[in-house]
Amino acid sequence: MKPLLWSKINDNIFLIEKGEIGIVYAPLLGKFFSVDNEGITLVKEYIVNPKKENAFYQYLQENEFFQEVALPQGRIGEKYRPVELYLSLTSGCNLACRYCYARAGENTRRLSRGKIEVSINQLYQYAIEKGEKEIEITFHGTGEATVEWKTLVKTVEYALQELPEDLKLYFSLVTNGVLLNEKKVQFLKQHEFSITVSIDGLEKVQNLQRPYRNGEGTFSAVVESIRLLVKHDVEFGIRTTITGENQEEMVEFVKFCSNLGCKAIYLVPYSKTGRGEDGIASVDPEKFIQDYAYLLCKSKEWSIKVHTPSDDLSRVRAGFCDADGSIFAVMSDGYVSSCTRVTRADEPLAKMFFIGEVTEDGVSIDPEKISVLRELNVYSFVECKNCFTRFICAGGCYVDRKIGEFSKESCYITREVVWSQILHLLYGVLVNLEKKGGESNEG
Amino acid sequence: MKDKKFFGKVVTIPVKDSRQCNDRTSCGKSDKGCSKD
Repeated sequence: MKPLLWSKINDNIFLIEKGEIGIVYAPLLGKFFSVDNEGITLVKEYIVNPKKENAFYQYLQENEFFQEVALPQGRIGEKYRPVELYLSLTSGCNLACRYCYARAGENTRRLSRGKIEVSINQLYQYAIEKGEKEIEITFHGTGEATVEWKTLVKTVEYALQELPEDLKLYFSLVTNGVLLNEKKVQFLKQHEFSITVSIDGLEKVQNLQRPYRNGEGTFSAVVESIRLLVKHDVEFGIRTTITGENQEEMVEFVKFCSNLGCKAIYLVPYSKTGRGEDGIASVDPEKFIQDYAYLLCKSKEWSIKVHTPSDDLSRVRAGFCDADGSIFAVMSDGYVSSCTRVTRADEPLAKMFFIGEVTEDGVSIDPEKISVLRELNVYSFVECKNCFTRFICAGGCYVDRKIGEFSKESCYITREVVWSQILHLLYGVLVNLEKKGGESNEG
Repeated sequence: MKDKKFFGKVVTIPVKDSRQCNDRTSCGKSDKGCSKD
């Protein structure tokens, strides 16, 4: 693949080049335009010698590329007032995924009803204090929430019963999908859950990477659950961890999901944490990008939206996620984490991301820890200063950085994802099909 | 202006609805790319 090159024209305007294609991109203005070879020469002349007589300067001026634009702000000094509660009902899990960062299923602990209710009451209190109108409860965490189905149902009932009048509450569930059935899916539909189902590939890969605890395969059970979600018209997306072991079939798998009736899939390159530290083949970044770009082209024809981290060019931000002291994730033992990837008190990053505790009597949050987490934003990462994706990825996942998994490959993928998005917007379906032998994609 | 031919038409990036359910995993309030499962 040809290398992606970029030059900074000013803090918010970049020239990006790959092969014969040049793009001038202003991330904070949310706009760009293509540049031909002669135009690239003009741009480079302007970078060296920024004269107003340069046609490039005039084009920027005419199209309002020099307007003042506010930089995305971090959250330094902000109080802890999260509006999304993550509940880890249990650390138990019916699966033994090879790369599970939570090492789920080991020493099962369950979140007590009392702690759940205290957490929900606190969420409402935070929302009222912040003046927020929309809040969310997500079942997701160390274990598999559907293992504790009765608790999940009672939690939903309690949350709705106690919901203040002027707040709109959304529910989400992240699940491995194997325990869903007709009745459960109807419940999820009734309460307008947004669901993320995790499945990693076609039968062989899924059964290898995400087996039951007894080693048996889960593929059939997950596919059956997906069919039920489709049948009942429940909104859901698929989440797939891409490793060196399922990468070969990524395109085929997306097509398979499309045929099942899935409308969205989230493809996440694997990073090492938890059991994954024991070793799973890494993703080939170049192949990932080739396939991702191909899938972008196919998404309309296949009626499935294809996502990957930092692929939304309209969402400029200073922080990668809310782990900068804005997440209220209650673990099954009552500890509060500000990152859903940091789930155990005995892991090194807990010192940083474990910010408090829920007891039967209330919630305590350490303001000093919040203060430290607030520093986590792209302005802290000097290596990002001149990158054109600086406000798209905001420096990437903090945990990946802390555990040393943040690499040139991660940045390569992010930049190529942004480039693919730009080309897709510019040329529609006619991009990056070179690897498929010039295959066209009409419709 | 004659030099305009060097530069293509300006494209504005469409803003996504962060509450659109199936997009929330990638553009919701918290980046659920961190999801364990």
